[in-house]
Amino acid sequence: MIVAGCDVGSLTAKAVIMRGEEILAAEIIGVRPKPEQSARDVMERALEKAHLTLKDIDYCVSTGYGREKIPFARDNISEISCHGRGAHWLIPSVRTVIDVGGQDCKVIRVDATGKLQNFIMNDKCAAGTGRFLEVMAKTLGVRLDEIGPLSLMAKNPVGITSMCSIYAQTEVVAFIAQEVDRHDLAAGITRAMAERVKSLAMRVGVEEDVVITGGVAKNIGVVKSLEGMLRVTTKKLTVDPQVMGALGGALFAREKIAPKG
Amino acid sequence: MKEKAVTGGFPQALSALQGMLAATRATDKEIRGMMKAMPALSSMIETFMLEPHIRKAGLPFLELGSTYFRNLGNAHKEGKKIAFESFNFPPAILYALDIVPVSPEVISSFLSIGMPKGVFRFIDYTTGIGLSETMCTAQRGGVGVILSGLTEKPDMVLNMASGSCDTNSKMFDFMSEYLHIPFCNIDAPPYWDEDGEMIKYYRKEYRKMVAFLEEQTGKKLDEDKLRQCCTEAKKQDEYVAEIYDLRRAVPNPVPAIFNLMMFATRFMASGTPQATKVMEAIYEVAKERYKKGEGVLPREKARVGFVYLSHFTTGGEFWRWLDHNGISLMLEGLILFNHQHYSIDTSTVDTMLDSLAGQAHNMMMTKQIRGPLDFPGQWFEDIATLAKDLNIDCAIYLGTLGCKNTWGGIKVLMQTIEEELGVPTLIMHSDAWDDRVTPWATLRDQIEEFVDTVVVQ
Repeated sequence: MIVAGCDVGSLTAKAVIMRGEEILAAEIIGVRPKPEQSARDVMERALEKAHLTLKDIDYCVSTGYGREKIPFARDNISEISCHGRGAHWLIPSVRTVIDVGGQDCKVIRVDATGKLQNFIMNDKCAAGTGRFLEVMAKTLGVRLDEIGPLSLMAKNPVGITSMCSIYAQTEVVAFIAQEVDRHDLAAGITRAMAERVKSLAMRVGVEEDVVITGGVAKNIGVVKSLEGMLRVTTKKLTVDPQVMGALGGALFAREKIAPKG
Repeated sequence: MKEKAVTGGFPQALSALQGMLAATRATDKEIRGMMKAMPALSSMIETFMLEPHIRKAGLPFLELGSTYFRNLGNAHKEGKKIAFESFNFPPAILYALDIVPVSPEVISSFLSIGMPKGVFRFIDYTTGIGLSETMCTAQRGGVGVILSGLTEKPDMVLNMASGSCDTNSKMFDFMSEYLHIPFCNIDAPPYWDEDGEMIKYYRKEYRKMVAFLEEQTGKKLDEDKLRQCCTEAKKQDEYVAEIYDLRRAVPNPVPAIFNLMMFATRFMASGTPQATKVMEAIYEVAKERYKKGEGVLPREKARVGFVYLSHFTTGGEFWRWLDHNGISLMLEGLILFNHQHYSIDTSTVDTMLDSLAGQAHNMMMTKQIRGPLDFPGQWFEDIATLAKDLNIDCAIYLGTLGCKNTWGGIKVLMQTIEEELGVPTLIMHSDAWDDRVTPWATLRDQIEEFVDTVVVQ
């Protein structure tokens, strides 16, 4: 049986194809104007990588913002459930999943069996999401993936106090005008981001083991800052943390077609 | 300097709707026709009239709402005084003195359900005249409506819930100063003893208010009229107690919107025959559904306790969505008085005033959810009593940004609920009267997620 999960988020679309316990392919693309198109394009690329066609997929579960618009998905399940399921499948000892996506952030608590116990989402603004880092990278004039490594070389990280991304950008612009070292600026940015995520995590409580999923999990600066603030060492995932929702979708798809009893 | 008045025609439109409803048999076809003919009020019609079982109580409720706004519009023409008062105060005493009550929270809630974009522009209006964005939107919406000249100007201010919260109380002071009208404050003592010094003190304060009202109206409190109002209030309390009992059933036969209709009726018109008619209709519908074994559609997936508020800024969709998704609204903060049948003694003027004072002091945000002087554990104790009695599966907090009192204690309350009642909880950051804080679609998705994945597993 071949199953798939398709996660159409706010900034990227992800697809995972599985056969049994094996991940055959995983793909990530930037989103298209319409979720249907994003889903088709990302799935097409994943299928190509796995040398399959859509007809070979026995069951597909969609997730993410665009989950109800995916024509080839037979069911849709929320991102919270999918991220929890994906992370727990990879690391069964996980109890807290911190998912920092492009435009939202979730902290999910699961029990030993992987069942959801509690969750919290930011629902207000871009601070504490990938979009915040994107805006800041542009302001600093560096690539998104450079911010993390730059931040690790800081000597005197700046303090960014604004809760709002736009005002935080204004603060960074002011620091640039004062010719503050860009490593210190990068560290200030990753710390500010981690602070937002931390305050959300504290509201549902953090129990180890902890994993970080979503695109921001790839930012070493944010991860290190968050680990320090939460006083935990996060578990490293063996697959791209950004495809965790799609992986969870594929796992749910596998359950759907598993023989009953 | 005051800004130019914001115009609007909600009271007139509501009155026209009520007139149309009264002139028809309110069949399904006619109701749908009205929704098309009156698009500005279509959510109001959909919420209270579209579904036949809701309609039986919805019609008298809309009539009551229409009367409330019409009275407000006609008060001065009829030689009556208008009192700007607090929602958490049974207005029977005001009706006994022929005073027309106006509560900003009632206005905000009615308009939030009935008008496209609710009271956003009125909330913004108050910001424009210098009130803080962090003050209660339930108050600010209604205050904006009043100050923008959409209603008659109040003649006096009564603050009977001085314990509820600082900014809430300060609004009464502000209204008095801003409109240059007299102000009466009832002090609620910072301790709780049902039969001791506290209630004596509050009864004394209540009588001070009665003297103030007599002075403002130039009328003496008439014993027979007071008794009529108290008798009506008593009947309403009896219906409330009966409806509460019906709610214990599984599935719960009381539609979600009936909660709003019950507390709104009490806040608007306690002590009037029209309010009794609404309560009676709610009871009859719930009783009929109970006998038929009908519950929340399509099945009672979860029995949810909203520990503070519902979500008003959705054109009524909040309550419809709960019912249609099998989420049974078992309790909410604004009906915390429901399980406390406070008997009114109609023997003498003194017993009636004592009873009304006692009832006022048992209202939510006077008894529970007070400021730093809260009676320890009062909110939790009442919620826990109801939660156990009504067999709730989870607790959800929806509030307003301005409610410092609940934000200050919500985490502790929810932790206690989880530990002592063993049910999951969800705290949502939203504003019941301002959808711009967190859109309803986001809240709905989170509630659905919580119920489907954490509560029902």
